Amino acid sequence: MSSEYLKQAAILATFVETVRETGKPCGETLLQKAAYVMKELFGVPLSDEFRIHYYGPFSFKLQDRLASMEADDIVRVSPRERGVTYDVGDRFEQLRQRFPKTIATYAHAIQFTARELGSLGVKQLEPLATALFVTRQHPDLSAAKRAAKLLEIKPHVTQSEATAAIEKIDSWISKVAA
Amino acid sequence: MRLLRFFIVAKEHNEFRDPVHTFVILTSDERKVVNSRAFQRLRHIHQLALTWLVYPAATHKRFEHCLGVMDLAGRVFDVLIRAENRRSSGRLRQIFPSADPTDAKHQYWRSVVRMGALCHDLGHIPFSHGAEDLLPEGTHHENLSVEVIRSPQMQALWSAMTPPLITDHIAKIAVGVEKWKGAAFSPWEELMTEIVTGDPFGVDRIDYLLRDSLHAGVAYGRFDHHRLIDSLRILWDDVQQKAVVGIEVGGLHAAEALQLARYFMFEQLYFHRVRRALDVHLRAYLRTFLPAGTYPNSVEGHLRITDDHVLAKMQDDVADESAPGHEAASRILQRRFFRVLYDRRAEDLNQNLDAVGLVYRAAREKFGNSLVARDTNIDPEKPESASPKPLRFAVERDDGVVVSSIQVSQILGTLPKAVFDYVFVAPEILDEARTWLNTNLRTILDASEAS
Repeated sequence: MSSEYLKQAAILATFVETVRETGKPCGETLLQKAAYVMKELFGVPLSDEFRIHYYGPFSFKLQDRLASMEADDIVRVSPRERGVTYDVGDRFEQLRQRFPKTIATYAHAIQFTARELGSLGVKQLEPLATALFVTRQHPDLSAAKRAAKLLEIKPHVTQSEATAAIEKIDSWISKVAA
Repeated sequence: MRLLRFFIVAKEHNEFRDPVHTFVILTSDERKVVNSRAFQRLRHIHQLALTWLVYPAATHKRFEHCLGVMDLAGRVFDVLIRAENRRSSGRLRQIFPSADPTDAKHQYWRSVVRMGALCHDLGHIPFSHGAEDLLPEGTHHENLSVEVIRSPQMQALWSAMTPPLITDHIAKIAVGVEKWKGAAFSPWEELMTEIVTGDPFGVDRIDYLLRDSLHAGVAYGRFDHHRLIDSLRILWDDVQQKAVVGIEVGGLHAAEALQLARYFMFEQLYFHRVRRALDVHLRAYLRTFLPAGTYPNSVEGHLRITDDHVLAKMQDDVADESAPGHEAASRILQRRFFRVLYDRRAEDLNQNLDAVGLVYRAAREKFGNSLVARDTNIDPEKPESASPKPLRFAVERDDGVVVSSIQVSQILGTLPKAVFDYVFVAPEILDEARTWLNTNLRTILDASEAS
């Protein structure tokens, strides 16, 4: 297990803790989309490769990473009304003490992503994360054309949802650039 | 004679005797695929690499496993499509291509699913997973499976079938969503891939657990797969917002037994320390065996290499001290394989999550790189690491509500993850290394970098 794995685990577990402190559940879909947003919007060094899956950007490698973190008791999973939620495990404290600089460096990205995505359901996360994916794939296209691309990938998303998702992503990119 | 020839030509069903499923029945089209060069090669690829050097009867091959997977895939498809098993609520109604189970579309997809299952391991390199990381970076044996399925020889078979099967439909079922990057799967195609490669109930897993446990003589892999298959249903998973293969609650104990079997088989067999040490040496040996140390990425190059070729050369190299593969071959065949020096210990991980890594690096510094090795299944950076993925699945309760398995099964919620992380050393330094580690472990674990 490399220290790179442990640093990435510290970042992801801090995100879990941040969401759970608000009283909201932190399911796997939220973690997947949040990791993608942190990586693409803020350049957080997560080595997972994302591709469009049935419900937005998804990384099988991140799924493996979360399983390893669970085996190491950095995070835990428990049932909730529908599905599961992640919580931090006993060994997260060890990472918090060992990687304070890493956690501080990405604290803004973690807090922003937890605040913006933490209360969203799968149906809202999907167009938003896909809008970021489309924008990264086609940075030079107009908002309308990117919304059309999003609809090609996700035909069940409505036109107004696609447009709103692209606008939201553009506003986030501007904020981060500023 | 003419009459005999008539019966041979006209015979529509063929069967193989099988120790797990008793008989595996094939259509004439399927038999042609079994007779192909690519499929016959699987008679010479061990299912469990060098495990037969630990469990002597585990000499079974990919050939019979693929036949078993095809048989199970057909059974699962029939259960899922059966009219009384279909759920018509909401979005599930849009999932089925037709309301009639005898519809041609269903018959087409039944053929595709069985064919995908039959061909799912055509890309396996010698010794199956044992040497997977010798493939070019970023590729898996599944990439080779796609290439073989798309090869002109196999395409000629698909197009001659009744009805003709679309090549990429077969490839998608064989490989699944995870391993075929860049391919677009429709919701229906993704659902069909679950039958073969799905994590909780994929028939690949059902067959290998039953078959490996039988051949290895490890009884832990058995479970009531008949009951399990009968309780499989296509369900709407509200959390994932998609149709999935789940179970109705009556099959929960069979599903729990499958997951327990999987856990025990990993702990007892797949993660056996000698087996893993042999894999380390096998990888080292294949690096000397293969030109430039990497596996050929052409279909022709792939089809030419089997376990038999490698084992014959390995025997030669044991006798030839000047051969580049002599050291690794001797470790394997003369039973001088590496021994475990250190494994995960909860108390050490509580002190330092990188405990195994620290011991590994310190041991290499002390004894040299050639006498120390490490193997683990929980490194996300490592390809084919048999990650302890959570196996959660959808369960339909008696009241029709679909919930996660973790909510209705106390066993699955508490099942530990099967993990291993071994530091190996050469047997000739084992005693010295143990003494050194006992003296220095605390110091090694205290040395952690922070940032």
